[in-house]
Amino acid sequence: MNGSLNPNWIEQWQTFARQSMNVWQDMARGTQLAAEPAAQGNGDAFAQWSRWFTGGTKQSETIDRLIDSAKSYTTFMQTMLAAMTGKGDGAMWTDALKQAFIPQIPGLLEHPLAQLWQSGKDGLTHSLGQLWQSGKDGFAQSLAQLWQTGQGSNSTITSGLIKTLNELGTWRAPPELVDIKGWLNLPTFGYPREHQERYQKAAAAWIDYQERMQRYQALMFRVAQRGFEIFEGKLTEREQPGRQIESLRALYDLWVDAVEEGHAEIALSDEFREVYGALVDAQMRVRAFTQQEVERLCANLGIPTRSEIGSIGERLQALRREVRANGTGGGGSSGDIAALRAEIDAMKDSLRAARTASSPSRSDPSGDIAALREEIQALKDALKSARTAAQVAQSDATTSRAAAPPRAQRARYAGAVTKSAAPAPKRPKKPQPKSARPGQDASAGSAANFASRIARFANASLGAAHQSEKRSGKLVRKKH
Amino acid sequence: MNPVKIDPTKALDEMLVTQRKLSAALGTLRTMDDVQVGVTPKEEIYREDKLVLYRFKGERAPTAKIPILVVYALVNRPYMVDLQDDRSLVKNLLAKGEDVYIIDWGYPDGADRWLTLDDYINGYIDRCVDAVARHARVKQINLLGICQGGVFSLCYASMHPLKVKNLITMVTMVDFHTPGNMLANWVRSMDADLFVDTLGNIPADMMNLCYLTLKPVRLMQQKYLGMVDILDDKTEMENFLRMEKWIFDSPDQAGEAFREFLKEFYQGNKFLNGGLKIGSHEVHLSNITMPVLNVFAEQDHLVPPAASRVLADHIGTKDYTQVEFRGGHIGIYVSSRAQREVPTAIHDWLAMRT
Repeated sequence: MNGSLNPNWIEQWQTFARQSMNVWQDMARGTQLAAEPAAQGNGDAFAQWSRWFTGGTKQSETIDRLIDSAKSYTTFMQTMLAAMTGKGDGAMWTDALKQAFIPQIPGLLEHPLAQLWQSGKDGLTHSLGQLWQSGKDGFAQSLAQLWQTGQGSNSTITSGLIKTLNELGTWRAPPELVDIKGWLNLPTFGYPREHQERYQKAAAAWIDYQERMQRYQALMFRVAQRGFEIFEGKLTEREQPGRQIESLRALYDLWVDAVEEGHAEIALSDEFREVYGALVDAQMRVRAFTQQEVERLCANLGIPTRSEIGSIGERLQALRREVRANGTGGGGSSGDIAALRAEIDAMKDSLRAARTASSPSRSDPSGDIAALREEIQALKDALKSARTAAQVAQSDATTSRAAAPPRAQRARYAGAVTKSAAPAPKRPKKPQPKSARPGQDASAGSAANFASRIARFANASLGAAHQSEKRSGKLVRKKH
Repeated sequence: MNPVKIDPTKALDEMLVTQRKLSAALGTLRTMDDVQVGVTPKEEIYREDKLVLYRFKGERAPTAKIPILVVYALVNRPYMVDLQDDRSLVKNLLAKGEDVYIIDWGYPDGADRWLTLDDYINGYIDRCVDAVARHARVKQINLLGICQGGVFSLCYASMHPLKVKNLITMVTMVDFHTPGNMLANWVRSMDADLFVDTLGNIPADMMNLCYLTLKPVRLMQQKYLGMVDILDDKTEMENFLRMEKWIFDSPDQAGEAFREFLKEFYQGNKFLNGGLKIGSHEVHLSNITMPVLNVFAEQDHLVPPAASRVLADHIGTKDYTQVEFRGGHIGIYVSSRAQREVPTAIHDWLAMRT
C-alpha cells in the first residue's frame, strides 16, 4: 500500500466493483468461463484496487488483513461460480475446489519464524544480503581490507571469505546441497584458519536451515492434502437431502473446518514436534552466527555490542538481587532494621488486638486513653516511691559514713536501705578469690551484696506498681 | 446427490452483498479512530521498574474485607479484564463489592533481559502482595492468577502460603503435556538455551505469529471475513477492534524468565513431575493448603481443560472448587455469558470463605 491517502478511493472502488460484477455476471451466463482463469479475476483486481485504497489511517493494519482475507475469499467465490456454471460433474467440482483452496494453504501455514525472517519490504534474508554487501565496497570487502591492512595479505583466502560471506547473504538453496556441505567440512589452514572455519560453519548452518525448512514445508503440504481429504469427507456427509450446502460462505466455512482439522492432526504429531524444533534451532544457529560476525566487526571499529550490554545488564541484575536480599533480612544493618521494624509492627498489632478485645467500643477511644493515663500514673507513683526510699537511705548513709571510699559507701548504704525497708535474712559470706587484694575484700563483697539487694528491691517495687497498675486499669475500665 | 446445491443466481447475490459490505466496511474503517481500552478508573499504589500496581475504583466503596490481587500473564496486556464498559471482569467484581488490585507488568526491554522467574514471583509479586496488604491493612490477600499469571500464582501460593487467604486460578495450565496441547507439542524439542541466548528478549511479533499459526486459517483469514458481516455496525466494529488491539498489543518477553518458563513448565512439566525450584524455594502444589477456586474454559485452544482440571489431583488443599466455563480462552473474559457467570462465581465463592 502507498503511504498517503488517495481521495478517489471510493471512485476507484466503485469502478473496480463494476468491473468485477461484469466479470461475474458474464461468468454466471457462462460466456467467459473457459477463457477467464479464476485467479486473474478479482484477485488481481483486488491487488490493483488495494493500491489505491491507501494506508495512513488508524486501522490500516486491520484493513490490510481484511483485504488479504477478502482477496482469498473472492477468488474462492469466483472459482466456485465458474464450477457452477459448467456442466457440474464430480471431477469438475473436485478440481474447482482444489483450485480454490489449496493455493491458499502454504502462505497461511508458513512457520512463524520463517515469516519473521522474511518480514519487511524485502525480508530479513535480503537485508542480510544487503548488510554483507553494504557500503561502498561492501561489508565483506571492508572486512577483507581490515585484515589485509592489519594482519598482512592473503588474497586467496580473503577472496574465498568474501565469496562465502556474499553467499551467506544471498544464497538460495542450490540443488547440490550435499556437495556444498562436503566442501564446508574441509579443514582450514594458516593464519586466518579460525576465521575461515567460522565462516564455513556459518554457511553450513544456513544450508542446514534450508534443509529443515524444506522438511517443514513438506509437512505443510501434507496438511493441505489432509485438509482436502477431510473436506471431501465432510462433503460426502452432506450428500443427503436437507444437509446440502446452499451458500458459498457455508462451503468456505466447511473448508476452514477441514483444513484446521488436518492441521491439528499433523501439528500434534511427534513428527511435527521434531521438525518444528529442528527448524527453530537451525534458524537460531544462523542468527547466532550472523550476530557474532556483526559483533566482531563492531569490536574492530570500537562500537559497543549487544553482548557487552547484555553482560553489563546481567551483572547489574545480580547486584540488584544482592542489594534486595540484604535489605530484606539477608544480613547487614538494613536487615536488622527491617527485622526490628517487623518486631515493632508485631507488638503494635498485639497491643491493638488486646485493646480491641477489652475495649467496650472501637469507635470511642476515650476509655483506652483514660486507662493508659491511669497506667502511666501508677508507674510514675511506683517510680517516685522507689526514688524517695533511695534518697532516705542515701541521706542516712551520708551522715554515718562520710569518709568511706565510694564503692564501699554504696554497698553500706544499700545495706542500710534494705534493712530500713525490710530486714533481709543474713547470707553466708562468699569465699573471696585468692587473687583479690586484701584492702578490697570487704568493700567488694559489700558492693555485690548491694547490687543484689537493690535488684530485689527494684523488682519488689515494680511488682507492686504492676499490681497497682492492673488494679487501676480494671477500675477505669469498669467505669466505662 | 451433489453435496453442493448452490444456485448460481443466489451465489451471485451473495457475492454482491459481500462486495457491498466490503465497500461499506472499508469506509467505516477509514473513519475510525484508535479504540480505548481499560475503562475502569484506577489509582497507582506501588511502582517498581516497569511494573505498576493499581487499585481499581468502583462506583461505591468495597464491602469485601480481603482484597483481590489480579496477576495477569506476561505475554499480553492486563486490560483484557477491563476491556470495555460492558465487557469487564473488574467492573463486575467491583459492583459486587470486591476490592480489586492489578499488576501491570509494562513492556520489558533490554534492561529486563535478565529478570528470572524468581525476580518475578518472589520479587515483584511478593512486593505487590505486601503493598496490597499494607494498603488494605490486612495480613493476607486473595490472589487471582490468569493464564501464565495463574502459574505464577500457584508457585507463589506454594512458596508463601501464609500471605494468601484464597487462591483463584483462571485458564491456568498445570499439566503442560496433555495430548491436545499444540503449543506445548511444538516447543518441547526446541533448544530453549540456544533460543534465548540468540534472541535475548523474545519478540512479541514472534509470539503472536506462533499463536496465530495454532489455527492458521481460522485466525488469519476466516476471522476477517466474519468481520465483514459487522462492518456496517460501528459499535460492533469497535468491539472487534478492541479485541484486535489486545491480541496484537503484546510485550516482548524477558529472556531469562522465558527460558525458565519454557524449560521448567513446557518442557519439564515440573508441577507434575516435581523438581521445580524458583530461586532458592522448592515449589510443590501440595503446599497449597488455602481454599482454591479453579476456573477454566471448555473450548480453550491454548490451555486445554484437561491441562487445568488436573490441579485437583495435585493440590494440598481440602477446599477445592472448579468451574468449567462454556467458552474459549478469550471468551471467558469478554463474552456476554462470561459477564454474568464468572464474576458471580468468584464473588460467591469468596463470600463463603471470608
